[in-house]
Amino acid sequence: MSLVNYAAREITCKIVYYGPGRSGKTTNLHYIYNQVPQDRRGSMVSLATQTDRTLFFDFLPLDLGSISGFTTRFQLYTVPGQVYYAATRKLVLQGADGVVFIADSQRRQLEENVESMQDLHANLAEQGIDARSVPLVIQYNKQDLPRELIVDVDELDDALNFRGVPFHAGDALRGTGVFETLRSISELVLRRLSGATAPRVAAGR
Amino acid sequence: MSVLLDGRFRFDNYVVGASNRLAVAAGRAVAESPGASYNPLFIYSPSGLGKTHLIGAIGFAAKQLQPELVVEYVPLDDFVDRLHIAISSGHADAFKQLYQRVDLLLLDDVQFLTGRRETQSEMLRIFNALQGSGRQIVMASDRPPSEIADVDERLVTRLAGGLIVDISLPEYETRVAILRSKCAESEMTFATGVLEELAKMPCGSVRELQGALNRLAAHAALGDRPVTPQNVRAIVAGGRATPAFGRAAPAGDSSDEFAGFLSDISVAVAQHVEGWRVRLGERVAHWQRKGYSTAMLDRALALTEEADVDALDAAFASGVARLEQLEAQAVLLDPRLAGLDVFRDPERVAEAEARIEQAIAAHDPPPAPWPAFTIETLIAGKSNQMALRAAEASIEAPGARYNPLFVHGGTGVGKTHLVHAVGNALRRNAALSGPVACVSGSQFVDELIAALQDGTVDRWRARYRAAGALIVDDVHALAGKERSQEELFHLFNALHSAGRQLVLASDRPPSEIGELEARLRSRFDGGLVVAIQPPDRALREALYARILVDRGAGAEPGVAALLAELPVSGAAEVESVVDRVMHMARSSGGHVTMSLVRRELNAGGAATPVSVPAIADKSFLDAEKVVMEWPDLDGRVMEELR
Amino acid sequence: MRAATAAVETWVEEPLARFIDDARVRLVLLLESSGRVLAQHGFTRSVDVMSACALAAAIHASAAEIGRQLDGEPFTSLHHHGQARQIFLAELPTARGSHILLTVFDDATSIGLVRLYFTELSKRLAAPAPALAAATPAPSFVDFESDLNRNLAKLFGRI
Repeated sequence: MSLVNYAAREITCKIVYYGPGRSGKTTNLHYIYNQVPQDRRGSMVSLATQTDRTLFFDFLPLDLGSISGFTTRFQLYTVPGQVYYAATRKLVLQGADGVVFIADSQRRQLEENVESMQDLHANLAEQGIDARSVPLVIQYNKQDLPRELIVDVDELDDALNFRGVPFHAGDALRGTGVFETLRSISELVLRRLSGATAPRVAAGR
Repeated sequence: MSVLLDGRFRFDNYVVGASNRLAVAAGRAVAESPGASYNPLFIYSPSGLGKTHLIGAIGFAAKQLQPELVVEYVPLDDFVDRLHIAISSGHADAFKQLYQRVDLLLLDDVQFLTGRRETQSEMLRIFNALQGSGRQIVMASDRPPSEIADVDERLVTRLAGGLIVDISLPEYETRVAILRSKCAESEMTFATGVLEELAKMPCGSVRELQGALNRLAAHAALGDRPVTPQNVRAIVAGGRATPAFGRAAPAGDSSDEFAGFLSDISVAVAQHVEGWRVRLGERVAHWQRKGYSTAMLDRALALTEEADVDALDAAFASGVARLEQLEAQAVLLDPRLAGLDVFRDPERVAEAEARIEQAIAAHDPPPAPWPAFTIETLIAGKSNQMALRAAEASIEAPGARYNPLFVHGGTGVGKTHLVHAVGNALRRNAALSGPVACVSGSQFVDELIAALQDGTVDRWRARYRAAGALIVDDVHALAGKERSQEELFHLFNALHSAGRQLVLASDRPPSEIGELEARLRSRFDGGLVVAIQPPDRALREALYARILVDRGAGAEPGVAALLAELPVSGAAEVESVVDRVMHMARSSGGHVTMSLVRRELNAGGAATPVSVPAIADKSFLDAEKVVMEWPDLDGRVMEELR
Repeated sequence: MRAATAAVETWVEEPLARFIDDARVRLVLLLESSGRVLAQHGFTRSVDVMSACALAAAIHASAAEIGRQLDGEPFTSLHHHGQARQIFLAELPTARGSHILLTVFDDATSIGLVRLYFTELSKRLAAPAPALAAATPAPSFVDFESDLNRNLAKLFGRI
């Protein structure tokens, strides 16, 4: 899938929400789904377990209409966070134009965050992609929880944001930071329009 | 007449973009033939997007086209007021009649019909009357008919019964166009990039845009700093309400967040979609629609650096023009060549030109070997067996063994016969990539001269280049002819490197041909140079025997052997001897007998030089004359036709 | 075909072994719809089981979803035919709930046989299961991740 088709005047973006299990990836998408007018989105597909853990992916298509003469569509995906689902997670990551990393601010999940971030970079490397060239944005979710239970944003940022990418504090249940995060990654991805065709995670066939 | 129709609002000062194209088209149609197509025409859009301007333009244009048309513009609130006044003053009927005589009724802000029962029923009556008599109604509103609350069902049906069009928020390009248009109207100018920067900012309506523009103008006139793209936002932001970009969704929806997101994305896209790529994409689409392969342009799209779209397009267009030329040429030669892929790709011009060459060759083939000369009719003997073997090898594997094959020998030894025979044998080779070209040196020169005079040298060359094998007889005729040698040199290289067989004949070996360029000489020497000797005794006898039979001489057996005693220089001489002998026989009234022959040989025999009278008649040695000695009728006829 | 067959709960072992013998399949996985492994045959490495289970669960979920989107009925079984091998994936109702069976076989058998013996396996496993005294704990809401991994470790002898 190409990012921009100049001849047909279409922009199509695949954004993948990554992160450890239960960090709030699906919650982000649910919030977006509820905020977007019906005519701007497709139905959300969620392949989940009976206990509502993402099993394969969530998928939310957004139709942003015609912008500067380009039909603009965003496709948002989440991946399953548990280590167990590594094989399927890799599949969903293929073809991503940008990645949003949803970190769980709870102190007891700090290690999981780090591992997930490493997992992300390992998967990208496996596909032959230089991770530094993939637009990435971090959301430190669950910042609404009691202070004793969470790590503050600065500390989280030190631990996870070794690339110095944009980050946002968030409370996905109530929607805080959700659209800011989405806007952030979208701008990074669209910035690539001025460059060559975006280097991207190779899409398999 | 209301102020709206005084000419301020016209079609030609209304900026058309994707957001309002449909509305404008409908408006024009209505202005041109009111009552004919869309009736009523219902235009809706959020406030400040140009509805009023548009309906004003419709009214003005209609009036221009038909000055006697009764056009009335009335905002709904005014209408309501007038209606109330009319009713309360008892002139209700007059009011009705007034409105029923209007040819084109323009109603603005129709959304204010909400809850006004009386107005609604009056409106319904007026509608029925107007539409019934084919008069046009145009309405403007800030929402579609179905969303105007509390309106009589029948009226809603009426309102929605014609064409409903919306005007949406103008996209970036249209905003720029609007700003430019407004600047032109009020004769304002700004630095490059200022309007573009302003257009990038989120705005809720064209009115807001105008407001921002006014602010910029004021700043430019009164402020001390000039307006630059960098400070546009700051200037405009001072005093702007929070942006409200996004659809005018029915109130109550929390789509502000999404709306904000959407507006930011719009800005991002506008910023990052590079103009040059868009234009190049358009060119790609344009050429693809015409059926051309655009690989060359597609590659440029994928580059990081900005491409010079105009230059690329011009190059592409000239490639296309050349292809069209070539295709036209090709079709004249062979109609089946029309529409080939190669004529659809400007990167394959060279290939197309090669096709033309092939077509030319097929259409106008080079001279061919004379059919009468075949290997079978050649009599072999010791004097020519090497040449013959070499020839056979070349026939078997053209281009592989002896290339070029250079045959030389005195006049009449049979060189011409041999090389033409090779040519004919090669013609039977199906694997050959083109026709067999067989030409004499002097003919080659003549053709070249003619081509130079006509300006058709390219065609002449193409004929030979398409040949599957080339035979040049009497190549020494090119001695001293520089241009011909040059052409032959290039032709030689082209054919030789393509593995095609070259056979050359001359009366002397390459080393003895004077005024021959070294590079040609070395090439001739580079293959196999083989001589044909004058016929030996055995060959002579065989020759005599055959010729005597062919001529129906009725000679005694042994005549041939006797005649063969004398050496001759070649087959030609054999023939002339036979001629003489037969002449003698006829004049003495007898047959060709041994005794006659003996007498002849002894009488003028020793004195009669058996070899071609090289001394007596020099002209006989002339290369051209020799070439004209065709051994049989077929050859002579062909010569005459040439 | 006496390669290792291992099950988390013993009551599935015998019916499963029978199935493997009768149908002559190469690889078998019995898993919950969340991907948690319950029994395996023919695999030598736990990472392979993990990937296969995750993918099988994903395939099953996707196929079911397509069915639902098309006409409301989820698909319940899938058969892929490759050059040398074939895959059969199906829902397997058991006394403990609906599970997924994934099996890989080659030309030593046929899809017809596999389906036949699968039907028999289903009947056997649908029969009431023995008392679950020492059974594996049901998936908890608290630590989903380790639940997924626990059975895997059990099968490969790390617990």
